[in-house]
Amino acid sequence: MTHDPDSIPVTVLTGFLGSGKTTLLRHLLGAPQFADTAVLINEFGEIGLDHLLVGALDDDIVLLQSGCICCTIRDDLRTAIRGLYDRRARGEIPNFRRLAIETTGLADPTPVLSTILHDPVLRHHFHLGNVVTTVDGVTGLTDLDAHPETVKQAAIADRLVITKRDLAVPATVEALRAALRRLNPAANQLETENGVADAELLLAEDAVGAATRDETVQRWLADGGSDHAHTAPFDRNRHDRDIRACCLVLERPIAWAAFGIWLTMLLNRHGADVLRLKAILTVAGADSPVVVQAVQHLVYPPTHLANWPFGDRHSRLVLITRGLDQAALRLSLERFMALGR
Amino acid sequence: MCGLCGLLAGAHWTDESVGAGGALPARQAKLRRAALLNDVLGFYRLRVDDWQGAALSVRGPTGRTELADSLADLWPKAEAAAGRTLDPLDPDLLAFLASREP
Repeated sequence: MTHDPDSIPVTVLTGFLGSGKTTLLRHLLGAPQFADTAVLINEFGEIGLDHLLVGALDDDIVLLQSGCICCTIRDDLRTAIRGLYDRRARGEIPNFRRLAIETTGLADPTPVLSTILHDPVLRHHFHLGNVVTTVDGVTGLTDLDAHPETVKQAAIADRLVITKRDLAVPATVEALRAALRRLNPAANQLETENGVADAELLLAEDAVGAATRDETVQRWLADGGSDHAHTAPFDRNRHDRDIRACCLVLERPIAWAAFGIWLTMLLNRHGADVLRLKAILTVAGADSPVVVQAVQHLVYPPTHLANWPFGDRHSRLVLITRGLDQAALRLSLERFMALGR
Repeated sequence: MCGLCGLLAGAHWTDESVGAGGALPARQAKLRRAALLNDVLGFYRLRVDDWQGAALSVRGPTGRTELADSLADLWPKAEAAAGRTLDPLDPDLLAFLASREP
């Protein structure tokens, strides 16, 4: 499955209160890569955004049948994005080619992802780009300890931006970097001084942008040669002490049907605790590797890479989970992949 | 609307045409998938059948039958038919699957 070339990427910017989301966004909106970007924000903060296409959201949400927070549709967001698209189509606003959504710092951002992935109209015109999470370089370790939502925001990120490096003690930044690496080894880490970050790297679309995906997928899984590589617990947060990242490797090509059975069954029972999944799979019968991503119950449309990014053709999965037995996960995957052999 | 579905219309992400590029004819792929499902669901005394290529029917030990639109939609229906939760990490299920490996 590939995206329509006219499909508009959506960059989701999240991070705890005061972690520098709006400062980063203001900087990015001045970068050439962010030209033609429409912006939706949850709350107008103290830092004003002087941008032609800024809209506000309120918190009108619809809880779907499963009752899980990641499966909520935000009605306000759906209405706002559809409204932007309609006005764009009518020529009332410039022909924006990217949408950035800044979420509230206090909330779980997964309903934003759910809205874009699930809404039957939106998903034909928009696709998820990166989830960018800001983490305060000065207070980030404390925030991770004290606020469970910051752990979730970091766990689902494609890009982790450590802000305020110029104000932080180097040893603190180093400790934060290590904690975030344990929490989410698949995310690319960046640092900012005075809100300035590498726009190109923030926007490069993992597994979606043809120009960058081979390289970025390789980075996701660069440490995944061993299934024991990342089983050390992320223990910063007393509430989410048991969040762990692990990499699983399968040497034989997988049957797509068996993988679908395993993942849908896993997400049905444990989706709330599968904070992030990124996988590159060698699928029997397919002549190119397949990338699968999920955030809790949400599965992104799979994409195909042009080439295998590693010397071998092993399938690799990175899973960031909460409270799930890593050995059982590995055994379960192996047993299900043996189905039908 | 089902919150667990990756897609609401057209191909579901688990369809053979999405991941394997249509290596198998669609009908054959769906029958094979039903066979693999039965390898798992036999542990729960459930039986899955492909329903005219458009859905999956799942029948429980009491005869209760449910229809599911997709693989993602199947699991809540299978749990309803079985009257219990279905956990792919359950050691007993994994031992059952191991016992069936050639």
